[in-house]
Formats: sequence, structure tokens, C-alpha cells
Amino acid sequence: MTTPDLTWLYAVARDVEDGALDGLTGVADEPLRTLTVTGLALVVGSVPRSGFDERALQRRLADLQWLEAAVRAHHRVIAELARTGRTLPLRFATLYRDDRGAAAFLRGAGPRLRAALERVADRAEWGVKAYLAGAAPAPADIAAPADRPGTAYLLRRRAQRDALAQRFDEAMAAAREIHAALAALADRAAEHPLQSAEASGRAEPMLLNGAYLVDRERVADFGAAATELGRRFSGVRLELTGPWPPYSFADIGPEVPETVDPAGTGTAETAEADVEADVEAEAGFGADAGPDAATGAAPRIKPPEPRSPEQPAAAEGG
Amino acid sequence: MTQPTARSGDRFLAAQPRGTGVQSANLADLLERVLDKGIVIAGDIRVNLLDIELLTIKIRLLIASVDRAREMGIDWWEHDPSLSSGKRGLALENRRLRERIGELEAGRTGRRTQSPDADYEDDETPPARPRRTRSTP
Repeated sequence: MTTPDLTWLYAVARDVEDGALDGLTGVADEPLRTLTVTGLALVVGSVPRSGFDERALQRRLADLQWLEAAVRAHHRVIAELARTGRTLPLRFATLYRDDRGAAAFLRGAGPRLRAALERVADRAEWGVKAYLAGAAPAPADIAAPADRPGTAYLLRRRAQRDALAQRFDEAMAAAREIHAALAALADRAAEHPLQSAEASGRAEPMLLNGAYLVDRERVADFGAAATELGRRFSGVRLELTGPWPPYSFADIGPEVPETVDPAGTGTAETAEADVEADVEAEAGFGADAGPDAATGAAPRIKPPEPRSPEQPAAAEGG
Repeated sequence: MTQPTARSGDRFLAAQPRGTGVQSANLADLLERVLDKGIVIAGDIRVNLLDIELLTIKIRLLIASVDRAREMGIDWWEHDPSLSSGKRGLALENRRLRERIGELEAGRTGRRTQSPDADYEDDETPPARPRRTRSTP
């Protein structure tokens, strides 16, 4: 069946329960379908070519109203699937010209998808962000001569700045410790780039933007640990989000399959591979080689400039 | 402004392992996952996405209009202390966001872009289509 529509990919699932997709619609308000190949289900929707070919889609991505609604629609489908079973999300705006292309992907990546589904089974992604918190320390008692107010002011100001820098360093160290402790309780951990205040909507600097793949059995432990860490480190405020579908842990490795057909009788892309050996490739995934690995290491924020209480107006000048 | 007593752990424990969604998710969390994570394959249609931080800020600015957000059934800003402190906070927030957009765009394109018009500072409805959203990564 060929239609002029394009196929938008939402998620790969082990299987999709009957009725799981009822009432759900996708990014073009379209009903959802399931393509099943060798025991893997790919949830897709048909979107009109006129609105989703390269030119049209590129133009629409610049339409923030559309983009925001579409992002939420994409997420809604994935979240619903993740609620009922093991699910791997596809990145937003993954499209094939038709179902055949989508099915070929499913076949070609089958073993890697199966291994990745295994890794996220009974697990959910939790996000933990740490922000700088706590009241600024009271200005230390500075032994300054009372008859020299200028010197006293400069000394106070320096002490204040030093205290703030120290507080920030301590909070940053605490954030590293928190991440390590939470990662130890998770199957996998990743770090997203720190969000700027403008993106996060919070004034306090963000110190950690972690994602953790946590077994359902260990969610309580994970939560208890987060509570304990939040209490222990008063210089940071922790914020939790979740459960998320395993967005941050859905990497399936390189496109070239590890297991090459030795006889070279057929490539994974050919359309006739209906009978596929159920190769459960135990793809190694010990190291977080995903795109996350590089992003977390270097915090790119600096401690805020202290504002002298004596000069509140000057600091706002800009 | 802040929630000094909010302890993450309390909220953490209150969260259900299998919920219907992510209640406390903010827009930045959502965009950084949906637009950047998940299985990444080429597909047949190639498009370039903007820098995600830039998109996040732009969308925040767009839906900072309370009425419009309500209309769309979006209420994340109601839990967002920096945006829920009233109209004045919104105007300040808008200005800050627009400045940040200007900076980011200048950084990406290598040239200084003009800051967007100041004339909808008090408008209830920001322009539906921001002017400069194309990028060439």
C-alpha cells in the first residue's frame, strides 16, 4: 500500500498491548500504527508529505508554536508506551519515505534493538538536577580598624567574594559526589549539559544535570539516597524529575552491525529478510560511549559575582 | 522566588515509579531529551535542529504569555517561581530571555544580531513566528 504520506517513527517496543494506542495521536494529529518485524514493534504514524518533506519540515521547525506542540505530542506517545512496557524512544523528527524504509531499519538494527530493550527492561530514567543553594554566609568578623571605613569595606568585600567562591566550589564538589552516589545505584548514568538560568528558569546556577537508569526494584533506594544526599549537602538543592522513558539510554550503537553475515549472502537492508535468526547479540555497553559521555565533565559556569550590600544599585547597572 | 524548604527527596519519594507522565518536567528537560536523545538514526528526511538551549529559551519566551499558555493547556509556568511572580516578573524575564537569545544567536552566526523589537514588551501576544530561527549549523 503506497500513500503519499511519510512515516514518522515514535518508538520501538517489545510488544504493544492491545489498545495501548487507542485515542493517542501523533505529531500531525494522526492515528498511530504498529509495524511488527521479527518480534519487534515499531510505533509509527503517517504524516502528510506536504508538511513533512525536508523543506516543509525545516520551515516548520522554525515555528516555535508548532515545534512545542509537536515535541509534546511525540513525547506523549512515547511516555504512554513506556508506561506499559519496555520502550526505546526515537529521536524527534525521524522519518522514512514509507513503511518499507522503517521496517528495513527495524530488521537491520534488530539485534541491537533487542539488546537495548533488554537493558531498559523494568527500568525508568530519572533526572536529578542540583542547584546552588543555601543562604550566603554571614560576612565574617573582619578585624578592621573602625577609623578606616574604606579599608574595612574592601576587606569585607574581599571576604564576601572569597566566601562565595568557596561556597560554589564546595557545592560543585558536592554535586560530583551526589552524581557518583546516584550512579552507583543506577544501571547506567549520563549527564546532560548544564542548563543556563534562562533555559532552566531558575536563578540559581545549575551544578548537575544527571540522568539515571534505575531498576524499578531500586527506585525506593534511589529515592532514599537522594533524600539523604540532599540533607547531607546543604549547599545544593536537588530536584528530581521522572519517571522518564529511557531517552538518555536508548543508544543502540553504530549503524554497522557487529555481526556481519560471514557468507555475505545478503545485507540487512534488503527487503526480503523475513526469516531472521534471533540473534541476541550481547552488545557490550559497559562504557557510556553515547553522546552523553563527553558533555558532563566540564562545568561551564562560574560563580556569580557577589553583590556588595553597600552598592546594590551599581550591580544592576548592566 | 525560591523554595527554600523544598527538599528534593520528599518530592522524589512522592513520585510514583509508574506514573502517567512527568509532572515536574520543565520545558528544558523535555526538549533536551526529545530533540537530542533517543535512538538516533538517519532516516530519509534530513533536517537541522537549532541549538537546543536556544530553542528552549525561545519557546519559553513564546509561551510566557499567560493567556496563550492557558489557551494551549500548558501550565508548567505556574510551578515555575521565576515566571509565576506576576506580570512584572514576566516582563523582566522576557527581557532577560531576549537578551540571551541575542547572545546565543550572535555566538552561532558569528555576527551580532539585533535584539528583537522591544515593542511587544507589554503585548499579551508575542508574534506567532519569531523572525530569526533559521540556522546553518
